[in-house]
Amino acid sequence: MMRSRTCFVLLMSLLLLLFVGLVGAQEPMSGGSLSVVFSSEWGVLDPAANTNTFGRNIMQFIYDPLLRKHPTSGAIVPGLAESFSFSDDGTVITLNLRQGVTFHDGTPFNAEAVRFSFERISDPELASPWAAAIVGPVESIETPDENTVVMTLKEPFAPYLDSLTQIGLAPVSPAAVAEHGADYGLNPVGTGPFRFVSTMPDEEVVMARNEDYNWAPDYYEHQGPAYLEELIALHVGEDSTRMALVETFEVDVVYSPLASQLPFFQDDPDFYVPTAARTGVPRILVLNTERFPFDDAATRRAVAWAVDRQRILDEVFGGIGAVPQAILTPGLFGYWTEGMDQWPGYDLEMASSLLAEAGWADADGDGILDKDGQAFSITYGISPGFPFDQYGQIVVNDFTSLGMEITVETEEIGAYLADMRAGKWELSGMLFPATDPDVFNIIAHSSSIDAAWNTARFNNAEVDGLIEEGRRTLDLEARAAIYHRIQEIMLNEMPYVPFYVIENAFVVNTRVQNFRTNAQGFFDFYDTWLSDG
Amino acid sequence: MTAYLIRRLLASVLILLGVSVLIFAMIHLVPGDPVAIMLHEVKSGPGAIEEMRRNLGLDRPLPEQYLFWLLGNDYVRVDTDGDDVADSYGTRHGILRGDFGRSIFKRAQVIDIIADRFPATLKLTVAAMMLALPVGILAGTIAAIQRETIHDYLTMLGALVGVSIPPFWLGLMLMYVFGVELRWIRPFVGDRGLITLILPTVTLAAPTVAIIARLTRSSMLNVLGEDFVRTARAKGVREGRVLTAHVLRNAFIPVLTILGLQFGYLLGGAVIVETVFVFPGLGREVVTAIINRDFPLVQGVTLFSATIFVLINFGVDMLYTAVDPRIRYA
Repeated sequence: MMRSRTCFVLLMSLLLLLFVGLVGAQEPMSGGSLSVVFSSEWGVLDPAANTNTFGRNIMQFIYDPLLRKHPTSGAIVPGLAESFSFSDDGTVITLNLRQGVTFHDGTPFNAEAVRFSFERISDPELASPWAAAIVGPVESIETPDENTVVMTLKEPFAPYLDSLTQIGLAPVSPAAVAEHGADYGLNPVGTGPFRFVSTMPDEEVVMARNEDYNWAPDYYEHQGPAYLEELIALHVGEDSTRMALVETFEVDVVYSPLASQLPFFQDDPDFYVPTAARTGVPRILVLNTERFPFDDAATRRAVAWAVDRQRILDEVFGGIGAVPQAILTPGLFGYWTEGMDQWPGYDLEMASSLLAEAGWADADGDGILDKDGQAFSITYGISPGFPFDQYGQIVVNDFTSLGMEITVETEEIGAYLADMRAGKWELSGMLFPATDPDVFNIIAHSSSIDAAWNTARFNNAEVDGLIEEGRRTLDLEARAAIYHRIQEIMLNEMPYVPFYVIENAFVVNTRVQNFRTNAQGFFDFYDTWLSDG
Repeated sequence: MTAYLIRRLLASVLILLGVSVLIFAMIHLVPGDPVAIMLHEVKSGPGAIEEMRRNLGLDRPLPEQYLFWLLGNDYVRVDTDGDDVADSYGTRHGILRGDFGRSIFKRAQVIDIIADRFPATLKLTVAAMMLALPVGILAGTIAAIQRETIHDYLTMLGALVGVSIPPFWLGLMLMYVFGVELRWIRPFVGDRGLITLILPTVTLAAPTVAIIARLTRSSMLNVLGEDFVRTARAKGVREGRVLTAHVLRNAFIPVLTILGLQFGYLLGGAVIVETVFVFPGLGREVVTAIINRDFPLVQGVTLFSATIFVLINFGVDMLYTAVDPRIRYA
C-alpha cells in the first residue's frame, strides 16, 4: 500500500515535470531574418583566399569543412567526410565522403570536388594563404571512387586532421569556379546550411537557407534545413554606430562589442551577453630572448610575476575571459593541467626578489635597475587602440615600479607586425588563436624566427625536437604528453608571459533563441531560431 | 588655346606618372606586409608566409614590381615555383594598358572595386557641393552686404565653427541626436536612398559651407569697393542687379578657384564621413586597404583619385574663361 502510493506520487511528479518542461521549452520556429554586425571587414568569400577571422565566421555558413571540431569536447568528428582512417604508418588518410550532398548550384559533392578544391589551393596562380597547409604535408591526392579520397602524406603529420576542420580547406563547387574564374569569391558556392545570395563586398552579405541541407554533423540539435530563413552580415567599423545599431534593434547580434558598454547590455532585459572561449595561445607578452635584458631566463621569470592579470581582465576586458594558467588556453588538446599552479601570479615583491636574485640592483642610485653596468631600459612596442593601450598602461606601471625604464613605441598594425617579427623591441604583445597545440611550431620552433611568429626569437633544441615529434605522433596520449613537456619548458624558460585568455563576447537580442558557438568561438546559427519568426 | 590644351594634357600625364612612382614607393617603403597581416592569426608555420609572398610576386625587387604594375608581367615569364618551367603569378597587363591588377585581400579587380565604390563617394561629394555652394554663397553675401551687423557676426561665427569642428565629431553628434535620441532618421547603415544621404552630406558640407561663406564675404567686400560698382549705382542700376550682375559675378572668380580644390577636398574628406556613417564609398575602402597593405588596391585607388583631382583642376581652369571673359589662354 505504502509502496504504491510512493509510486503514484513519483509518477505524478514526473508527469508534472514533463508538462512544465513542454510548456517551458517553446518549439523552435522556422523563418525570419537574423542580422549580425561585425566591427571590421571580412574579405572575399572564397575559403581558399581568405584567412580573416570574420570572413571564416561568415563562410562557415556557406561551406562545410571535411571534418569538424566538436564545439564542447574539441574532438575531431565527421563533417562532409562521414568517416576517416589513418594507415598504420600514419602517412595515408582515407576519407569516406557523405553521399547525397550537393553544392548550392545543384552539382554533386564528391571526391573529385575535394581533389579539385585542394589542387586549387596549391596552385601558385591563386596565391592562397592556405597553400602551405597542403603543399607542406601532402604528397598526393587520389580518388579511387566517387565517395573516397585518399591523401598520401610525405610523413606522418598529426596536425593535418585539424587542418581538415578549417573552413579554409572546405570544398568549393568546381562548376562555380569554372564559371566565375578569378571572380569566384564574389559568387561563392558551397554545401553549407546557408547559400550565398548577394553581397556588397565587405559591407554586407545576404544568405538564404539551403532548403536541401540534411547533412549536419551529429552534435547539432536538429537535422534538415536551418530554422532561419535569411542571414545578413553587416560591417560597421565605427564603435558607437555599431552599438547604436544593436541598441535600436536594427541588428540582432553584435560581435566584439565595446567592453565598456557590456554592463549596460547585461542589465538590459532586451539583450543577453553570451561568451565563447577562443582557444589557442592566450594574449601574451613577448620577451625578446635575443636581446638584453630578456636574454636571461631568470630575468624573464621574474618579470612574469609583475603582470596584474586579474586587473587586466577586469578593467580592460570587462571581466569577460580568464586569467591564464598555461601558455595554452584551457580546453585545447594537450593543455597541461598539472602545471596550472606553477604559473606565476601577480606578486610584485616576488618579482622584485627574483630580479635581485637574477643580479639586478640599482647600483648608481638613479632609480633604475642595473646589471653588469647596463640599465634595465627597454622599448615596448604596441599597436594603437584597444586593447594594447589599456593593458599596456597596466604593464608599464608595474614594470616601472620595479625599477625598469620603459619607452613605449606605437606603430599601426601592419608596421607593428613586421617589426615585432623582426625583433625590433625587447617587449611586445600578441595572441595566436589555434585549435591544435601544433601552434607551438609557429610561435616556439627556431625555424619560425623571422619566417613565422616566433617573435620571442626563442631557440631551444629540446623544444624544437618535441614540436617535431608532436607533429609525427598520432597516438593521442603520447602526443598530449609531448605538449605537456613543452609547456613545462616554456614555464621555465618564459619566452612569453601569458596574461589573458580570450573570450569572444556577443550582445544578442532576446528574440534570438538557441544562440550557439563553435569550437573556434565563432557563432553558429544552424540551430538558432527567432521567437517572433 | 589648342597649344595650351596640349601642354596642359602632357603635363597632366607627367604629373600622374610622378604620382604613380610616389604612391608605389610610399606604400611599399612603410613597414608592413600584406601576407604577414593576412597570416597573423591562422595556422601559418614557417614557409607559409614565404610561399604566399612568392606566389604574389612580392619577393621581387621593388623596381621590378613597379614595372610589372606599370607595364604588366606578360612580357616576362618568370619561374615562380622553381620547377624550371616559366610561369607567372597571375598575368597582368599593367596600368598603362588599363589593368589595375587584383586586390590581395578581396581578390576582385581593383578597377571593379573602384567602379563599385566610387559612385557612392561621388554622390556624397556632389550632394555636399550642391548644399555647400548655395548656402555658402548666400551666407557670405548676407554677411558682406550687412557688414558689421549682428547678421555678419553670427554668420562668421557660424563659419568659424564650421571650419573648426572635426567632421567625425559632428557626424557622431548628428547621428546621436537625430538617430538615437530623436529617432527621426535611421541613418546608420550605408547608402540606402536619399534619407541616409542627409546626415553624411551635412557633415561633409559643413567645412566647405564655411570656407565658401568666408571667401564670398571677403571677395564681395573687395568688389563692393571697386569703382565700377560706384559707377553702376551712380547711373541708377537697381541694387539687386548691381549685386548679381556686377558684384557677385566678379567676386565669384576666387570662389571658383577654391571650388575646384574643395571638390578634391570633399572627395578626400569623404574618408572620415564614410567611416562614421558606414557609407560604402571609396574612402572607406582605401583606409582598410592601407591598413592591410593591400598594395594593388591602394595604388589603384590613389592613382584614380589623383587623376580625378588633375581633371578637376583642368576643368576649373577652363571654366575661368567662361566666367570671366578677361581671362584668355594663349
